[in-house]
Amino acid sequence: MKDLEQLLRDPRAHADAPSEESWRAWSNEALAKWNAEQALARRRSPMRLASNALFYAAVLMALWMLFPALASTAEKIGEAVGSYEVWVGMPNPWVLAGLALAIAVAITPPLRQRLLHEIG
Amino acid sequence: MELPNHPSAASLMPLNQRNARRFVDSFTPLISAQLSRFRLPHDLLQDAVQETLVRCLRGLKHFRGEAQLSTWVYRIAYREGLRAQEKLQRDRSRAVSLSPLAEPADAATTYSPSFAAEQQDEVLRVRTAMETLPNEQRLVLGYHYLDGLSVHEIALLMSARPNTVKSWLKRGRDSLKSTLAAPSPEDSA
Repeated sequence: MKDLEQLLRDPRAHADAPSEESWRAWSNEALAKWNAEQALARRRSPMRLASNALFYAAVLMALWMLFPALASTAEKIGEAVGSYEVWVGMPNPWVLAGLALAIAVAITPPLRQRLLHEIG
Repeated sequence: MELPNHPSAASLMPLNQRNARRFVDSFTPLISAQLSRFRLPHDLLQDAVQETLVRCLRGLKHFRGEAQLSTWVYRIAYREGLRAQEKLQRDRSRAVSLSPLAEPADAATTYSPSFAAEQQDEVLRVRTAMETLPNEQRLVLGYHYLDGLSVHEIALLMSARPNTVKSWLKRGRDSLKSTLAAPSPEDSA
């Protein structure tokens, strides 16, 4: 009996590797799949760019509206705590900011995904 | 692990069709030989090889060269092999629940009496004995003796500690020695 370690270095002691014909066919298929993915990614990129722009524009708009709203709210609370008219007049910037956030967070990501799914 | 005749990651950039072809032609024999040791049926082996290649191609542009390219490819193939084995086990457990006599084709080939009768060569006896080893022991023996990976590289590849790899290697060798020391069916006949 030969040395076991020597025997283990013999490829015949292990499972047969696939034939060259097999692995060439598999690699061609894998390459075709990857090429198709690349082509799809190239087609998707303008739509992805547009939906990303929409999303970040909505986030920026929300922030732009939210900070003045916070500042004015603090100011108004300081001026007239308990004044009904002030509280009634106040929610407008909040509502707008909330609306913009809702658009940004809840609507555009699913919209983006749906668009990508449909063109895919 | 330095493998000859394999392109470097830098030489494959930009990853256009020509360079993707170079990568695939260079690494597919290595990947398919590695995955064939996971004892997968032909269709699953084919899927695992293709999935490994596609994953490598997807990841190549993000490869930063912290490890050798071949080590990175080995690692992806190893994970894909495990994934395919899990799928095989799930499918088999479903099949067994439907038909207890169902036997995988590759195992039937390996253990059939006619095949065992042909095991005169020592190397082929080792091969038959290898089939009885647990997955980790069989894989580390292949990585170490056939692919020439060090214990440290195997540990990195299999996300295990070096001492665990050493233990798998030792247990695998001991198990093979005891199996091979037992009289073969031809000797006892």
